[in-house]
Amino acid sequence: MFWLPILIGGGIVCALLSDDDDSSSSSSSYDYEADRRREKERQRSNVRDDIASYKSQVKASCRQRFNAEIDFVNNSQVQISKIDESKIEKCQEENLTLLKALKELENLKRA
Amino acid sequence: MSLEKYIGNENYESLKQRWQTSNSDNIKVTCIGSYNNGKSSLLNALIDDLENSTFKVSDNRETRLNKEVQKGNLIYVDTPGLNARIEDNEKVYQALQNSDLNLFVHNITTGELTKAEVDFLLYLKEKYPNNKDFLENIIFVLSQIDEMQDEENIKRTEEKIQEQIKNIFGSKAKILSLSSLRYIKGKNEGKNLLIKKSKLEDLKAELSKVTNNLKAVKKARQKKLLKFIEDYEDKLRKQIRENGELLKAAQREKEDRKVSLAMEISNIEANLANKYQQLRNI
Repeated sequence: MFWLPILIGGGIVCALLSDDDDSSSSSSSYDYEADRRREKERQRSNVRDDIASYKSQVKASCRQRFNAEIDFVNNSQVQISKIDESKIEKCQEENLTLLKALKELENLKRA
Repeated sequence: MSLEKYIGNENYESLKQRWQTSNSDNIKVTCIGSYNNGKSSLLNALIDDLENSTFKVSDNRETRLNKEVQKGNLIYVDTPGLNARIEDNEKVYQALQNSDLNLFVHNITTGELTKAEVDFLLYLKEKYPNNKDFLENIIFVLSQIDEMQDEENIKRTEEKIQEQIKNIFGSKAKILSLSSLRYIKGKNEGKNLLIKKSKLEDLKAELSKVTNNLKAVKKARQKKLLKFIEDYEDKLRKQIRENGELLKAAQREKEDRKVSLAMEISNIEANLANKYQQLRNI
């Protein structure tokens, strides 16, 4: 009679321990896969962020250094969408008005 | 108007005016000189205004704008005093450009030409590269001889001034010494001797020579106008050449920029290819 509670108690402890072992072994296998996927996704996300940041940085840099607008096609290809020609346009416009003024003077001389 | 933009509004207006009046039978006589030297009195005497009031005479600087009064086929123009402000000098120069004959009035009682007068003549010398044209159309009028006692003194001052003119322009100019007030007084009092002594009739005779030779005046106007137009043509051609150089430089700069940008794009594409490879490798 003296051993009965001890045996019951021991049985409960064993049962509990055995439950714990089962649960720990099955959850460890599931977490590893998920963690691995999460880690990969995190790495991909970091690289994507890095690419996005790089693209935005080089776009700004091209605008500042070359007065040009660039676009990205097929991920890693770059094309020039616009290159500043305002100085050229200004000179051409100036040239046109200068020639008009000269023509006006020539017409005056001929009149 | 393109022309107005390049030659400036004042020059454009002057050109337009000269163009319109180049065939006119009216002759423009412009009076210049330091203020209080008797420009207005001289003009009043020339138009026989015996009240001496058409052109304002004052010890204060009255003439701030070019004022025109016509008598017969002569248009007399009074200009602001030379020793006032630089923009006044510009106004005077504008008046001279449209003028057929110029009268430079100097107060003989002050002796030789003052620094302000010499400075203005030097300014005009810069504006008229051909001194001969300028000197042919100007008479130096030495006013207020009524305040000079000694004829010799008048002659000496005339010689000194002639020397100053020669130093500036390299040639002599026509000089007439006279007294407008003596003329007006003589006219008012009917004293022919005063009128004769005023020597204003000598100046009137010079003006008559010009009015009697209208053909030559018109020819001179055409010549001046043509020169004015050709000067601006030269300036415009120079600007066109300079602008052409600027255009070439801007085109070169764009090409250089494109080359540098192409190199930069290669780097960017290489970096992006690495990054996308990195992404695929994960």
